[in-house]
Amino acid sequence: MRLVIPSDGELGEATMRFLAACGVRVSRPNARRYTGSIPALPGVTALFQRTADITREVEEGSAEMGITGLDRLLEYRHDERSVIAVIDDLEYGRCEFVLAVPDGWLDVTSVDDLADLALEFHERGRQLRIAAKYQRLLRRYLFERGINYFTIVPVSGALEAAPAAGYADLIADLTATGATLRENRLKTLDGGTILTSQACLIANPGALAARAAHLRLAQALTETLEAHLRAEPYYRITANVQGRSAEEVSMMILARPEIAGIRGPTVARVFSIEEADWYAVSLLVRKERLLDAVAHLRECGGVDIAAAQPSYLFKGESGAFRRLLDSIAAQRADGDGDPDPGRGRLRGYDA
Amino acid sequence: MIARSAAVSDFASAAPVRRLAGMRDWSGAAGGRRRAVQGRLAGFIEQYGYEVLEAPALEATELFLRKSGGSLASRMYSFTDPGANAVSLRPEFTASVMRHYLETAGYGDGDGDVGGGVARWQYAGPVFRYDPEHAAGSGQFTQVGAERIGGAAGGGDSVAADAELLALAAGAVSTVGIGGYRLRLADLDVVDSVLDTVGLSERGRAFIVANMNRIGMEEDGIDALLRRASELRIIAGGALPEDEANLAAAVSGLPDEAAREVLAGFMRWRVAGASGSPLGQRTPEEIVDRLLHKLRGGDDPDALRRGLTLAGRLASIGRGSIGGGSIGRGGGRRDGGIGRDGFGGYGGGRDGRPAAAVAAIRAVADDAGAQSGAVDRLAELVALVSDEPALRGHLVINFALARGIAYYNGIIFDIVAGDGDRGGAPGSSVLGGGGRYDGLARALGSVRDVPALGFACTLETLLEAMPVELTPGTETGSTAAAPGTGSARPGSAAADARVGAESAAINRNGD
Repeated sequence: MRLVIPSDGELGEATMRFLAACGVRVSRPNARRYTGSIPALPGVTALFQRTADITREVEEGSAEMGITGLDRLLEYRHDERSVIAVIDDLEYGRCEFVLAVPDGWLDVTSVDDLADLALEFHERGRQLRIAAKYQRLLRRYLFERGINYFTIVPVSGALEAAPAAGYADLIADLTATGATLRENRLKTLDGGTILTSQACLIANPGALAARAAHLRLAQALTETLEAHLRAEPYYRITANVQGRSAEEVSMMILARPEIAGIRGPTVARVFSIEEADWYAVSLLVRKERLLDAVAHLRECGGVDIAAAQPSYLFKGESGAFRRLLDSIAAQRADGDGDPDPGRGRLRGYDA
Repeated sequence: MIARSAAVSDFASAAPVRRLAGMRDWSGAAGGRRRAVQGRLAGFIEQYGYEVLEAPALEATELFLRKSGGSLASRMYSFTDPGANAVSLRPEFTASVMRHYLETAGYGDGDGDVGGGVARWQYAGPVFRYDPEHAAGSGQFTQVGAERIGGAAGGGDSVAADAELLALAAGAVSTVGIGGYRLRLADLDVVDSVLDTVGLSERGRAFIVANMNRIGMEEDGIDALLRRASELRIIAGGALPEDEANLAAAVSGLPDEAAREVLAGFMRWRVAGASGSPLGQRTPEEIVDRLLHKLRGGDDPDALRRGLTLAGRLASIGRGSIGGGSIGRGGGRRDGGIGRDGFGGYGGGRDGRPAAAVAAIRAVADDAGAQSGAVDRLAELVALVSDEPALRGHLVINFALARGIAYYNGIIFDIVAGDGDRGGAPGSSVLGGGGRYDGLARALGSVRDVPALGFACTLETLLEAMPVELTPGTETGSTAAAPGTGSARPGSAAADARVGAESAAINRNGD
């Protein structure tokens, strides 16, 4: 199974770090090689590609799965059935696709203003020119807001310079902090966020369905990443507490249900040589509740309090993998994954 | 690259090259039927004296930008040709036909040009629209249509021209055997004459016209629109963001000139030290003007309410007493196929009978105290076409489809599939559309307006709405029904109207 991952840009190194943190480190013999392996998942080949190409690689079936930005998935895919987001938020690579106008446009503070301005331009026989990183996402966003009169100026490179250079009136660009926009005397608009994006795990359901071995590897990878993400907000806390019975100890802990673990505490007898009434308590609590939980355990007489980051947290079923299976099933029901969406409506007219 | 070769070795070595999405092949019986229908339409239109104009499929992108702005332009197949020219595959014909007219008749800046005679042209051929979000509205389609350009402006001649186009458009649909259809007609001059009485800014009027299809459709329709207008600062009332509230306080009580100076000074301070052109195409004066208008709150809310109420009364004529139902599809949202929402709204209604509708419109205009010229003209037109076989029982007045398109004026219409009250029900397909666009010539470089009208229909949509048994075959062209004789056959045209709507109901106006 081929997993295509970014070789460049902000997502490149972040993806390597993320996969390593998930326990599926990518081993790349040297930086000039375009392939690597994942020792923890034998059978998976990692392919390094430019971030901009990854959606297409997966959609065309050159790789079965990939990691890329949600922005690039939504902008570049042709058919939403042929490449899907299995996990749409891997919790890194966060950025926003926003509209920004010259700071001097004092009269324009919201998207409503922009809609009005587009109409005003049109009535004067002019065009509102927008230099845009992603045309398709921008177009849909503008149409949905009733903004119909605009021209998208294709620009590669420094979009922020377009208004000052005179070849666009405003821009639609990616920003993580807004600093570059401010430096170029541009301002964002109320309601002007077109998309909030981050890294995501994508897959070609049709390509994965073709081989059972690939699907098994896809499941292993998906579950590993999902369980890691699910574990990330939690600490596993253990402590020893004295009490007359397991029930009594658990009642004390449960007095604060919000820090008593996801489903309540696990309480087990400690077979101590000196004293017979010690119990081990184990809790899963959200990280921001750690000191709260420690204080509570102390109040309950807890000692030897240890907290550790769990590596994975698996649920009864992987929601992400279920989505993947569902879209494979939907594609089959849809006519064996015919890659041409235009075909269905021609029934009866094809000679 | 390694990734590529891996892919190739794993999959078929020569992957099939498939037809692009939105493109069709036509052959055999289906292709024959299609050619026959196209020929029949051409023959029919020819009998009205329309000569064939073959225009290039590739034009300068600028041509379509001037005509339609971003609404259509951003859905075009545009690219840079090898000579570095910005070009587009045509998304419609009207702009090309007007370009041809002006190149032939002149732009009005030379001797004896833009003169005299009436040009009548018909056309048929592929148009291209790209919309990845709606596969059914994307790709190549075939438009068949006609444009009537030139002649005297205004007066009886222009009413006759309107009548000619309506008869032609309805007759074209009828001649291919579609019996169930409605031609829904609105008149922008009438809307203008009524709104003239209210005293609103251009912005306020544009807001009303843009919302014609929504006024009166919802319980709190007018109140909701007034709230929206206040958010847009068309009228006063909405809360300002803090920065603007401060500016509003700074200029409060100042006469306009002094207020402009204060705001201009503030802006100079804001852009001080910026390099290049920190305001884009906009001048400081424009920005200050619009800002002041925004801070001061624009039109009188009572005037806007009155305008909306009058427009709502116009829009409800022909919508009649159809209760319930869903809200018209228009209103700026683009959730249907291209062009389909262009004339969103209702068409049915028992009260849409033309003569009664004109009387109702006259009542609204009289209540408003409007000049009667525009209504008189509409009444004359309706009387003129009342005996036209293709229009009798098919013409409905429906002002909900009036739209604010810069160079559009006078009549605007569409033709929807469906019989009786079902005609134009949500989901039925738009077979074609048209209208008057005297201002387009100027947008394309003429020094003055040129009277112009046209209509177009999408062949693929017609084919889907046609009775299956109809195959004109050998009748192609020469034996098509003569104008005025009527050729409508009773058919089950509406049966598959929904299917038609799902595919591309591209009428001539994507904007």
